[in-house]
Amino acid sequence: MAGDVQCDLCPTECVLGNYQVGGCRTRINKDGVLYSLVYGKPCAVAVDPIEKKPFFHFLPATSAFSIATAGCVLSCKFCQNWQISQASPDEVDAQDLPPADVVRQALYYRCRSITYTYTEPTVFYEYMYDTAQIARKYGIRNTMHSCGYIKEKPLRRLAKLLDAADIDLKAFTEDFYGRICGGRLKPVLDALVVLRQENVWLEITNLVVPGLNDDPKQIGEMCRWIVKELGPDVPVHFSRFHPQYKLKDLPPTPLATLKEAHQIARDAGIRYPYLGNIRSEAESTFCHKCRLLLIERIGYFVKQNNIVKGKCRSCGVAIPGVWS
Amino acid sequence: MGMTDSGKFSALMAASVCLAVLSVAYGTVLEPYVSGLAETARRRERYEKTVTEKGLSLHQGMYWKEKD
Repeated sequence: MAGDVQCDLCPTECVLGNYQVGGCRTRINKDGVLYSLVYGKPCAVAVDPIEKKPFFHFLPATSAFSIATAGCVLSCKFCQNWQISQASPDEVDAQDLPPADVVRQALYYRCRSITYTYTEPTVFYEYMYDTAQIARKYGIRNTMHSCGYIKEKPLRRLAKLLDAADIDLKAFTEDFYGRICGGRLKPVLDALVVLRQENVWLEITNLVVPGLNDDPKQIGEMCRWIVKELGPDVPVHFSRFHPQYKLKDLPPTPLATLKEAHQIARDAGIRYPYLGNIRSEAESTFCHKCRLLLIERIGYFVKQNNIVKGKCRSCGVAIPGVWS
Repeated sequence: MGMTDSGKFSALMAASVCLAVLSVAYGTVLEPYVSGLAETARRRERYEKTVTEKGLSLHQGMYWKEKD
């Protein structure tokens, strides 16, 4: 009989018997060898504004060729894409799109970057890695929106090909990660530090869920950790929760809660806090030195951009980010 | 000539011990193996349906452990 295989891609570290599929639903042990079931089989393909990812300090007003396969390493009860993230590869409509074709399409649609997003790119690691390698050769940047639930070795290897990452820091307690997401906080914090060390441009998204992770003390603690471990230049997006999946009984996040989180972040020293999933002035970028309106955004649309060669047009201070 | 009562008792005891040993052996050794086989067969059937019927293919996954 073929032996068990331990997957060492994410911190769940599934031990799989023969023909057993991992918790992510996408990796299988067949006769003692680990295989991916979703390589070259995206179930979501789209050309999006990079602001949708969200990346606010990375090639603004450009298009990102975005792909995702079925599956996820977590099981968040508030997942906004649960129809595909909590599905098996055989439960979704997927198309054949090998890595070279992803790059070809990205070039065709004049996308400056490819984003691995919507579900959790860790589950299609090999597909993402091979695509990123080809994209690099053609001058296309690689970005991912991830929950950061990935082990250090695969992440360091991937980071060599990544230009930017937006990581969901879902809360700042182990309890929340355990009860609501089916994971742990510590590996996510470790992944953030690794990405910073590897010089991948980093942005953080925090979905504020009423009554679950909106405690001002907890938000303050999270922001202070970000400033201390990652620096004050990492943009933090506080995103509005809309009732979804298993948390349909909760209300959407009140604007006042988001504004409070924004102020807490600013007080903690974060230079670029933003609000997402809601229209407000806090979706625009202001210079951290002179407060000039640098990038005015309305939703995903960039109305004006006052960053010239990576610097504020008014005071000339360098604005952290990747601008060209 | 019939068995004596103590002979019958000994035979009964031996049969009981054999039964007990077999039961324990099945529970600890065979049962997990048999149910493991059934589970593998069930998973294999699902795999065949998933991969063959949905047109999915297998791509070898990456490992990092051996690179320690």
